[in-house]
Amino acid sequence: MTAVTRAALLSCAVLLSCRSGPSPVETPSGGNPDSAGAPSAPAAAGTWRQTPPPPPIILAAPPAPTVSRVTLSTGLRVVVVEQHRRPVVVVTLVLPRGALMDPPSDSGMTYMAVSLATDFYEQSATGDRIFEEKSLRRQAAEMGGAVGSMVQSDFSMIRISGYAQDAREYLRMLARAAAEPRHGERSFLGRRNAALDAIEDLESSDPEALQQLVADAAFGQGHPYARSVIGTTASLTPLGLEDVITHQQRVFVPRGATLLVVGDVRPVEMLAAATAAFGRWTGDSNPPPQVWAPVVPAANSQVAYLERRSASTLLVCATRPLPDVRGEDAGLDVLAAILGRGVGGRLGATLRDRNGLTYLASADVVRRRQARAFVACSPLRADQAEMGVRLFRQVLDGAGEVPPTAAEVQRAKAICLADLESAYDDAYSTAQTWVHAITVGTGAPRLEEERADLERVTPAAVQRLARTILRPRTTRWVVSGDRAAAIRAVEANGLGHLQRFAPGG
Amino acid sequence: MRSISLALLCSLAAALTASAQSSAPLTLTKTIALKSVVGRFDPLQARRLIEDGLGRLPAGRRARIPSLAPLSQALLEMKEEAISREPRVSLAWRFPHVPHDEATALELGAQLLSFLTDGAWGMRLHADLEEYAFESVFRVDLTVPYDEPIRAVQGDVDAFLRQLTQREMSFELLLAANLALDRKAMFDLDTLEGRAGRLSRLERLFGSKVSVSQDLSTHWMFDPPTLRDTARVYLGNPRVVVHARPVRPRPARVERE
Repeated sequence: MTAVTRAALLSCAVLLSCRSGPSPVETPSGGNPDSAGAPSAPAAAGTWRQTPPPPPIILAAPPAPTVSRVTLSTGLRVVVVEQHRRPVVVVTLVLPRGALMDPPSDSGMTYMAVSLATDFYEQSATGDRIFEEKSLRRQAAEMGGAVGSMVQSDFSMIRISGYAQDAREYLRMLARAAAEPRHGERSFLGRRNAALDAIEDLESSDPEALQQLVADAAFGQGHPYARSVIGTTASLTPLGLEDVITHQQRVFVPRGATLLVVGDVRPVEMLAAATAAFGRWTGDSNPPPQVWAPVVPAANSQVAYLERRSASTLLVCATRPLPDVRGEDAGLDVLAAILGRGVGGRLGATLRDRNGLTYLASADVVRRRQARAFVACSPLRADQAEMGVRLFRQVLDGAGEVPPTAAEVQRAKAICLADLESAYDDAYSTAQTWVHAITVGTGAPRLEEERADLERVTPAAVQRLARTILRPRTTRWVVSGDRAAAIRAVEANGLGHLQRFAPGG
Repeated sequence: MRSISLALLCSLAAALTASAQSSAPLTLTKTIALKSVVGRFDPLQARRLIEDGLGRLPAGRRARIPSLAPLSQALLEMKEEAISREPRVSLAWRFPHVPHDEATALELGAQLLSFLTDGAWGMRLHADLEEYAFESVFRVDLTVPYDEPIRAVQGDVDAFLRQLTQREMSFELLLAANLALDRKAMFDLDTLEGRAGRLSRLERLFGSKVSVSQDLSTHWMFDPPTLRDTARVYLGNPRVVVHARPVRPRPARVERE
């Protein structure tokens, strides 16, 4: 799940459930949130004592899983990651060609090409109609497995998760799906119509509409990373099956692709099975296109707006692309954690603990192969949205003015380190860790280096980053909720004027 | 994650104890609490924290099971749906005191139903069974992509249900459903959250008497006729039917092109 999706889902979940909180008591923001971390529940004096958190027990990090790799002559890389805790396996074919491969006027083409590959052939090689055919999903289901596909801007993938004893068969099934992609005509019409319906409904769909809006704001409208993965009405309506078949030949090529096998398997067997199954898969195509760097907004006066008839909540996001920051991944993660991860983050402490304006605030760095963006969101009390937005801004502005305290940095690092430590907790997490590394560009997880990078982050470095990226004039704002509340909040804070979301391109 | 998990455990214990000992309206007692602590930590340290924190909660009394009158006749409701453009029908059955093996048969049936819409683009079917202390609820939700009369939507969902209650499912499909339930359990057990969820559910339903593997063995006991007969008995009971009717229904695409 991407950071944008996670933020949108979290925000939308709260959007639906948020009810009036306690009356706000405004206090200066941007200070040390440590004090806000103290328990606030009423206690009968003398009847209980707070148990201090114990010191951590001796660190005995589990060993990194054993990894075996081979690259086939076709360019397909095979990676086998052993994880023997449960008799399960997750087999993922990662294709380095995602929605960026779509011609600008044909967005949604890669989505159709990859989704169709999990459906039905409908016709034999000789052109006869196949009756009683089982889809790839059904074939996997009959073995107890589950098939999923995903298309993002930078990559596509097809995954089968199931029993480790069936891993060889899953490899054969995936190999056939890649070498002879399914593209049945009825499947195509069904898929295309479903996508058109989804686009038609986008304005009223949560969290998809918000995701699209935040992506537009984060990378800039019209940027390839803000383009809809599933396409637009204009691009899908004239789309023909022949176009998709041609596009499948560009997407399903072994060069640059990775077959990732994670689970209770023997690497020698898996590498041999993968070589046998995928050895005949050939083809070639151009690498994915380079995209231009997103532009940092200057004196932005438009606030992206999604109208929702929310009884009590106005969802507010602040975002900005990061083309002017080189590297510094660890510093950005620490900054995001200081601002918006966990209840002890500055946004949470100010908006939630001190003022009762929200239940949740989040901040994250969205990463794509060729660009990054900072996103912070919080669903605020609609009747106090003016104050909520003001405090939200003060927290962001304040991050560059005062360096974070040692305690803040320690807390943020602990959160980031915990993410790294849990990267190999289970088969899915391990697979996701690898997919992220493959698709973002490092090729393989480098957890030890990331850990060392995190340890080196200093309060001064965090403040410098905050000064660079959290300048008020470069922040794009997104609000979703009741129109009157949105207008009040935006006007009271001089953010500009609302620009209503127009879905579907 | 260890130190953070233990710190969270600590905070949870402190907060719960404080709430229980204050005049806050939230009532917390040990009797209604269930504890599943799952993760990589020092068990002795965790135990000390639990005893020091949650152990001081008052014993309390088990919550009284509410007496809910059984549904004596079917209920049919229609609701206007202001946002979605897709008609939807939701069916629910309440079953007091379902033996667990029969509840498992219904759970297996729910899994089987989920296979039946493969290739029906835009049509979504979801079914599940939730077991509570006093009664269980079986739900089926069907969403269709385009505007259809109520009778047609009802006909669709009844046709799916007949597959379960009138016909014997193929062994092939039954095997797939059994394997799917086990696979979900395997992947749940592989994660901290999934494992905690599984253990909490068993604790809630059986105390500490049933292990995950024992629980999972139950759904393998059913052959197609038994499954059909069990489903027929339970799903023949009065049910609640709610039709969500979009105020802006989407015409069938074939009519628009």
